[in-house]
Amino acid sequence: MNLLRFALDNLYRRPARTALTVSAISLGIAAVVALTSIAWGFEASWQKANDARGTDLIVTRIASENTMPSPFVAEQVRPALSALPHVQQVVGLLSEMLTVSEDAPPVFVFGWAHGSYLWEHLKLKDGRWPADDGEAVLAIGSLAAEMLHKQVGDDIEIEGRLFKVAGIFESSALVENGALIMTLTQMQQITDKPGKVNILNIKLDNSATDADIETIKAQVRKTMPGFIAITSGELVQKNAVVRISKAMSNATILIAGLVGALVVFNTMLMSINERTREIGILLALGWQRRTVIKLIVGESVILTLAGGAIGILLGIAIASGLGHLELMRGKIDAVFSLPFLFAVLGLSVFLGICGGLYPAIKAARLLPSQALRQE
Amino acid sequence: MTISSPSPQAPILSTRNLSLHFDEGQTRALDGVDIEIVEGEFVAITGPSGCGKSSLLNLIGTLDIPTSGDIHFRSRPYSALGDLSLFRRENIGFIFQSFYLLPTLSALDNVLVPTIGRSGDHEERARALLTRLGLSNRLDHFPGKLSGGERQRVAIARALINDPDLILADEPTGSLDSANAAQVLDLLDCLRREKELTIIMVTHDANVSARADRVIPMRDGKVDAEVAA
Ligand SMILES: Nc1ncnc2c1ncn2[C@@H]1O[C@H](COP(=O)(O)OP(=O)(O)O)[C@@H](O)[C@H]1O
Ligand SMILES: [Mg+2]
Repeated sequence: MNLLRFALDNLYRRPARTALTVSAISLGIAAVVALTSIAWGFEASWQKANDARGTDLIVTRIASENTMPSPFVAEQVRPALSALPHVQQVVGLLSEMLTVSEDAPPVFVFGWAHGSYLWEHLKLKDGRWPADDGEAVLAIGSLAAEMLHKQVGDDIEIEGRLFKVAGIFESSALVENGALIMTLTQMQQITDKPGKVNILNIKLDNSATDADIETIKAQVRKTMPGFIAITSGELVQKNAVVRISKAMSNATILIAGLVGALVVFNTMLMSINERTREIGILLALGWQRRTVIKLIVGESVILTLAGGAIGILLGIAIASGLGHLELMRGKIDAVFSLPFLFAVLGLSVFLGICGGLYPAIKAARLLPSQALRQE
Repeated sequence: MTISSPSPQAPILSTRNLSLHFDEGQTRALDGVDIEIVEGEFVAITGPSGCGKSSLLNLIGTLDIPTSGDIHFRSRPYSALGDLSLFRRENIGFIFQSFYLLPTLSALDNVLVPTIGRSGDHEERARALLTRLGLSNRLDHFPGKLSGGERQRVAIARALINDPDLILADEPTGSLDSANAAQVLDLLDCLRREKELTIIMVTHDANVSARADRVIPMRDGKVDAEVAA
């Protein structure tokens, strides 16, 4: 007979209350895990796309806080950027989220400069690439093909114009797999943004060092007012949606933590009030006060740890499930980081200690003779 | 904090002007009690309901704090003990009228409850105690499946598991029929000799007090001097 078995027995004696408490905590933890994994996944899938493309630096409007930076005329900075040391290619990108089918959720549509390095990492599965800037054709990701039920040779209407599917490709980045890609020129035409891009992607030669990247950033800051050169990671950090989803996940952690601690606090307070006589018996039988504290805090931590473990599984299920919703497909790739999940377990233990400590001290402070008189 | 026993005949416990008041002195559960208990003695405390018997036992067992006066255990005052719960664990075994067993634990686990949080394996000793009390075939029974006499014997084993020197029993036969009461008394008497225990027992039962070495009668929170004389 040890303290752990005794604590488990006490919890088992009140199955309904134990189950309710564990459920409440697991829901809170599930919300934390799901939202955080999605927030990180959102960040990571954009980062992944940029990394897969091999982009070293991105130039955008400095003050733009849009999900996709606001468009600008590429030619005002492109020649100067191309002239900087180590710069191999400066490639325009124009992007928009558009509805292209009545019965499918909106998809990302990218315009990429024809012949640029951006296309190189995509694997063609079927058909061919757009032949030139004049051709009204699309390359579509395999996930987009599946969602829109399109094959090579089919037509897709975008903003009132018909595009033929020339090829279907596979990308290691989820956002690209769910996207439609046309040449930059075509994209500028259908979105009425001639000559404009959201970002300029810069690819450097192999000899460029981190110091060279810093030099280019400084050059842009100095010589191109209104523009900024940043890495893809920094661009993602700057993204308003990423920032909002992170703020939401932080708020959820705070709220779920507070609610979890209160739930277990309430449960343990109820529990020791019901068990006053029993605690009196334990003290009369020679239990030390610290053993009583260990018992009550232990029960509390068992509740939150069980809630935490179930909540983590539930949160993973929710986040993965959301990623498979039609609306979310191809946009979110939840990231489940092991250190984060362990941190959540740690948070659960912490909640158990916080919520259980006061009831435990209250129980341990009982005068045994008074506790024994309780009914 | 085991306070070792000196020669027999020395007092194991004495109280001096012991008082316990409630409701700001409105209720005087104990009002100046002086008693002395000798090592190995079996003392019965008797008296009408509400005269302060349980209060006295609770104070001796450190379950309550006196309003005034002090208790000495082997000539050390309680007020100097510091950690009362440690003293209680090392020296005192409690037995109650309504057993106070935990209903979801087996007889064996109930006996082990006082050892929870202590190091070491106490299970063998618990089995041996239960066997000594004639319960070797009841180890895995839950209290609900035991007779009153069996429950009280489990409680006695539980009181002995930490090897106390002083047993405090508050009407231990009060819930038992006379046959079971007699059996429990016989066992306590045997165990007292085997383990050199001192027993202080609150009782209403004349049969019980007849077996005690000495009877301390009480009335209105005091030792009833007239009857005691
Ligand atoms: N916690 C308490 N609060 C108020 N009165 C109490 C308390 N404990 C005991 N008493 C009172 O003290 C008196 C003695 O009680 P008790 O020691 O239980 O008597 P006995 O065990 O002899 O029946 C009774 O009048 C009882 O009501
Ligand atoms: Mg009483």
